[in-house]
Amino acid sequence: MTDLEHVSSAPTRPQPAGAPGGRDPFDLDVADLFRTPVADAGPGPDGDGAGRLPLDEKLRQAYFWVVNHAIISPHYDVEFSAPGAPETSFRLGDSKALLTLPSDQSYSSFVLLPLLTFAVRGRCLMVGGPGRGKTASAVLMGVLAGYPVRDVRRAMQHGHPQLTVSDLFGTPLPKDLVQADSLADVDVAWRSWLGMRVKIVDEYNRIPTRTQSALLTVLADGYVEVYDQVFETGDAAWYLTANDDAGGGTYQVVDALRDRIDVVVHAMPFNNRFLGDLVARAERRVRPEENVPPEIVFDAAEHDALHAAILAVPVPVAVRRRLEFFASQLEVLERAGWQFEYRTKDTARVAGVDPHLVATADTGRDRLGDVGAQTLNGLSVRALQSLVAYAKAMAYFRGGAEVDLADLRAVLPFVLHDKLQPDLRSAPFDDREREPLRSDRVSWIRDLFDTACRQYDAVGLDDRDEVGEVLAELGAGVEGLPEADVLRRLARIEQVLASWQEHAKLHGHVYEDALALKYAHQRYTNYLAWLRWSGS
Amino acid sequence: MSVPDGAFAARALAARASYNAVLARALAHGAERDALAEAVREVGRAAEPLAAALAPDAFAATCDALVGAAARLVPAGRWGAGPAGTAERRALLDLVPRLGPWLAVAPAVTVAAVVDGAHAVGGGPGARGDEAAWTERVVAAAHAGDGAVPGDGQVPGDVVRHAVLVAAWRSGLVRYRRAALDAARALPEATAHAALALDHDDDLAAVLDRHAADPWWWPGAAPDGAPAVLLRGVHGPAHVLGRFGGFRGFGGPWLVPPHVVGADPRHPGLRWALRTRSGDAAEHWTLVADVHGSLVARSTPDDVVAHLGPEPFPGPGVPAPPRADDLDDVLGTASVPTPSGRLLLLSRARSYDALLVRWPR
Repeated sequence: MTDLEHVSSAPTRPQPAGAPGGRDPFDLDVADLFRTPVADAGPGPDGDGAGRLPLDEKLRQAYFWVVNHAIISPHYDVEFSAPGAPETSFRLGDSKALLTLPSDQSYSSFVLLPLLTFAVRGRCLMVGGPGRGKTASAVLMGVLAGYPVRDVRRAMQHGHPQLTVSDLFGTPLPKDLVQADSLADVDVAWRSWLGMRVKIVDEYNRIPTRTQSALLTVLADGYVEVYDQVFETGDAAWYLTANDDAGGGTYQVVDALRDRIDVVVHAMPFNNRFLGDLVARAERRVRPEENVPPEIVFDAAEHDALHAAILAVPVPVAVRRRLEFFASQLEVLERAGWQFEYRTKDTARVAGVDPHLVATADTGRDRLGDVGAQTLNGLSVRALQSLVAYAKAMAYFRGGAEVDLADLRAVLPFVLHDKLQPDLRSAPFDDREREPLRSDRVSWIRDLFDTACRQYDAVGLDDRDEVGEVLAELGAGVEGLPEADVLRRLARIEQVLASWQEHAKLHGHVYEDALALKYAHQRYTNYLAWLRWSGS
Repeated sequence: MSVPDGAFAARALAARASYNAVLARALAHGAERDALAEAVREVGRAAEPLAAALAPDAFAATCDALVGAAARLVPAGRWGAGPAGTAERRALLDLVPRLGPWLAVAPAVTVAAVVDGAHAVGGGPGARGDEAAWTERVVAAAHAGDGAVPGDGQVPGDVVRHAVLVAAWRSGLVRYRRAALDAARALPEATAHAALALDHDDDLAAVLDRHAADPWWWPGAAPDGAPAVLLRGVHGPAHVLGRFGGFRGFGGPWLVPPHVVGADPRHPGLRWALRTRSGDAAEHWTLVADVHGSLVARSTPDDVVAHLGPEPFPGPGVPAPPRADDLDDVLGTASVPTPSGRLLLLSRARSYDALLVRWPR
């Protein structure tokens, strides 16, 4: 049996002594020995702040407390491998389903992604059948923010077909409605949940469309307007749940609202081997959310500090370049437009043309190897921002000093889950081996990224990146650049484009690089014109 | 649940609501009802003699802390069956009642500190302590200076924690060495003397300073009576300071004899690097040892390789000719000079122990 209020004293992710944040395991401190919290102990052994966990460790403690005590989720679908460690895997069943035993600490997405959402104050959609712990998980996040369980439950918004904007946000005071001379005089009794750091909307796909639109403003912009009165909601982590995200709710979720969601996680099915735990919990009347240890509760200041620390995690160029390469593959649709800039899937979609049909007309490219051929759309700026934020959060959670490619790869499928539309009629999905990817979107997106990374390696962009050099030169500024140098740089841009003219297919990265070169060319051209005009 | 008559029972009745809540939570967390009831009865019996020694408030707080600790330990499986039980249980039942002076000023901290200390010394992962000696040192520290209340500027809770920590290091928890040396300097002198089991005429500051520079020196720890070994090419016998590690089947860490690869120059005399090899795979180990305790644990190759300085085989003076009873199966050695003599850690082909020897100056 486990002690529900016990938080392990062992470091959850011990780092070697030399690593950033690493501690020397052979040189322990007084705080390592005395872990039992004592209410009347006065100041800690080392003065103020002693005994306080670093925030990343506290976040991991929260994760492990949730998976060990609160949510029975023995799934480790966010896998990591230790560098250089051999991979142990087994192939089971007729389909030779691959089971991998991760060599590094791995996690359950259903617990981790909501926790990272809490950390970055993002927006998380939890989907899955009834009774799988979606709401319970969201409530736990509210308790982690320091709110009493009762307040979290009271603040939870339950979607239903009659939910009005007033129900959701607040109502104008009746007295003011009668007496006010103008709308500005009408005070609104705002609902208390709007100011909370964790906001929960249960079954959001049962909310009527008009109320969804009102919700969109709060979700996206952090303010709400009723009767000309504005309420700023501040930064908050949002949790939305849906039993069925494939359109099975009472109302279709508006696209804009769906696009505002940063991550989508699936509630995993219950592993029946753990029925005993369920029985014991029922017999003991244990309610984990009512027994959250105070050591893992984040107050407002810690929540702010946590978010700030995550934002400060750097994304190294090598990782950023791979993400750029991957994203660039998705948007281009060579025959969707006439002008170069409009050869995108977005052009086709806006015109009401099926991007699949346009893509099919393009017979000159490898349909199996082209990552972009598998999607009907590209990535929005919002999607990229979410990706970066969650990759940073994952790196921070894992104790990394900077974002690793594995961090990005881990969060990518959950961030892009609803943002990338698969083209299920495309050739790659016809492959019998890849048939399961029609329904397993997480694996599909991860496969897309892995394929893009292999292509990135094959092109050798880590070693040779002429466009990157051109942009770096431009980024250094043109102030004081003599005409001869400008002309030399313009010639170099034209040289690169000329070299592509002969051989290169218009793959996504080539398309975007060409546009980047055009941008650089235009900047130099403008500068050259000014230079000549000024007589410098 | 019935409670025995007496002061503890009176306190339990007075605080019935909070005790009920504590016990209900323990039951909700998986404690067996009978085991929990017996644990409470046991701490009640242990607390009873304190009623006469402590002020009512301190006694009540001690009872509360004892019940709270038992209610945490039982559902966590850290109470233990049978008369012996776990180290934490022994600390609650046998040690806490002997700590009257500390309970009078900081009851909750005292109970929590000895439970944590007992876990580290006698039951936690990597615990390598002498629980009986630690218990006696903690008791002596609590009564040092006639159990006087700590002086101005000293928080009672800090004194308790530091004394428990110092006694834990002195009883074998070598990983707390640096923290314990700092803590000992912060303690009242009599308390520190008791926690370190020093004689009254030992100069505390001098002992701590000398030991900090020479981890194998301690008052009264002269190795004259220690066994000696002879090493090929070295004049004079070396005194054996300790044997570390051992075969895994007998409770040690290794499946094959280890190979000493170096001494960590950042921690001279304290940390050593070893390696074992199984097929093509090498495992790296760190031995941390001082005169009071030792620990062998895995380490990363980076840690080992980055800080090794190759040390020649030591030999003060002219190398001696081989002798018949020299150790003839030495696999690897590392040596470090210390103020009290040259230390040499050696591993052998026919032994699972790493042997630490010293040639006194």
